[in-house]
Amino acid sequence: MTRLRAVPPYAVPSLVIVALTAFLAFALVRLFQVEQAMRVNVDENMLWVVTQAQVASHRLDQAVNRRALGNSAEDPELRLDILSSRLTLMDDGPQRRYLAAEGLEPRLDEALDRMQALREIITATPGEARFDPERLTPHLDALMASLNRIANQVMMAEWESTGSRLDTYRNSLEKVIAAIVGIGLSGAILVMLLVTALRQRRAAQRGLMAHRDRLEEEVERHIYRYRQAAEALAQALDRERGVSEFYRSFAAMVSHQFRTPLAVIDSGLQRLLRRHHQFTPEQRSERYTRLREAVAQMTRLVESSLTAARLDGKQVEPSMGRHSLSGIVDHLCRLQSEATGTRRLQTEHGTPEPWAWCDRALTEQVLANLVNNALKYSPEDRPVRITTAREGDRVICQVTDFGPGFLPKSSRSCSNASSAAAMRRAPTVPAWG
Amino acid sequence: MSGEVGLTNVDDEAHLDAAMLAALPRERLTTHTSVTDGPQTFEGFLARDLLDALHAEGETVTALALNDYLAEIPVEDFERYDVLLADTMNCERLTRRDKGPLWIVYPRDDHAELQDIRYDYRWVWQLYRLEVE
Repeated sequence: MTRLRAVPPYAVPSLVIVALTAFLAFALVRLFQVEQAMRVNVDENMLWVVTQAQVASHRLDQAVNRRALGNSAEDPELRLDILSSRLTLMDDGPQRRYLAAEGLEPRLDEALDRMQALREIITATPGEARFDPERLTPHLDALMASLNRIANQVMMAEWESTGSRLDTYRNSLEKVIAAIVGIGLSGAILVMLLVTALRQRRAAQRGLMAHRDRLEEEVERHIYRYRQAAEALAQALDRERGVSEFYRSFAAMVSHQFRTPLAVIDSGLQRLLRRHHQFTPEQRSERYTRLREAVAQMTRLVESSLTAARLDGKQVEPSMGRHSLSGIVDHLCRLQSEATGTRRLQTEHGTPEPWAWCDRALTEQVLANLVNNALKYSPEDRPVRITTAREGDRVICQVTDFGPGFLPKSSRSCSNASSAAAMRRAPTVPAWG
Repeated sequence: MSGEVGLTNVDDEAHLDAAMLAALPRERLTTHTSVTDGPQTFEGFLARDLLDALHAEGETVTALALNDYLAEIPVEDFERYDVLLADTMNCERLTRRDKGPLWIVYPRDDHAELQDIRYDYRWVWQLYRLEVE
């Protein structure tokens, strides 16, 4: 099975251009032919030549007769010369061919013969008798009759020729008009092809732009994905750094904070080993209690250090929620009382109930830290007061003790457990939380 | 020659015989004509030389032939082209039985525009009189 081959896109415009060129060339050739034909004017010239010969023959006839009547001013010889000139012109190449083509050559020859006869009479006869009308008139009449027939025939031939030429012009002009119509149609087709090509080009441009937009969106999507991946990598790196910071901070805090309770436990255990026979059961029980307190302090320190290290290492992801701040404070005070047996904590809650958007565990940790510090660095006979209140769209939790307070530049780090050692006694500064 | 002619010898006209015309510079011109076959060689004098010789000044020259044919010719033709008043064709003297005594001949082979039909009627033969206006 033969497959149809696609027509090349330039085939149709090429054919149209070829047709346009052909029409144009045809029209030009036809117009050139008409222009050349219009230059041929031998017909009109021939009629003039013949009529002038006729006039010359009549002027000769007139001169002969007037001379015979005694008018000596008339010059038949001059008139004969003029007539000779006209007939000689008719005998010249183009004129003779024209007359021969019209079948008038015998008439021309007869006219020339008559003219020669007239010349012989005039030149061969002496005196005034050479202009004798009786001898000249028969030849002159025959000559005029021949010229009359020639003029008659030439006139008809010219009319026929003119009609024929007009037919030729008309035919040529009709073909030229047809060619011009063809040129117009070809031009119209070319314009249509041009418009179609422009539309296709515009559509292709639109398609290209749409494709480019899609490509840009695709690239943007890939870039966004890569950016997300980069951000994830950066977060992972940050977490890694956080973990590293966590361990470093935890190790630093442990090495710093655990020395005291470890020293207490170690010295207590050494005393028990060396003197346990000297101690009464009450004294041993007291030592054990102190040791347990030291262990409990270490446990709190571990919890506190872990939390602080997490915070420093950015390892804490808050779990936000709506919680009652007064509830958190009450729960904290209850745990603190059970753990330490203290009765110094006093709470006071305002109305309405202060709800807060926070992470409960972290908030408890912060408050526990503050409360522990307040209990630790204030006189044991003075209370630690915790109040909650609501002010506009904010909630406030205030921990107040009656200790000596901190130096102002240390207050910024007071929530950091690792900075606890940096706390300084400042008797002139009131305590706060 | 009559009209605006500077040099005259009979009343206000200049009558020229063969000897006077022979004194003008001779020129030769070979060209086709509309009434003959093939190129023809003419001899004679330039029309503008005749006008200059007679101190004739005008814009138009009316040429008259023996058969009373008349044609008006712009003097500009004589200045622009080498228009010949020929008395000889192919080495034969022109007689009044043919195109003589003088034939106004344009150099139509040298200038395409002279082949236009509107120049053909200016080829006056059997010329015997010029009137300058």
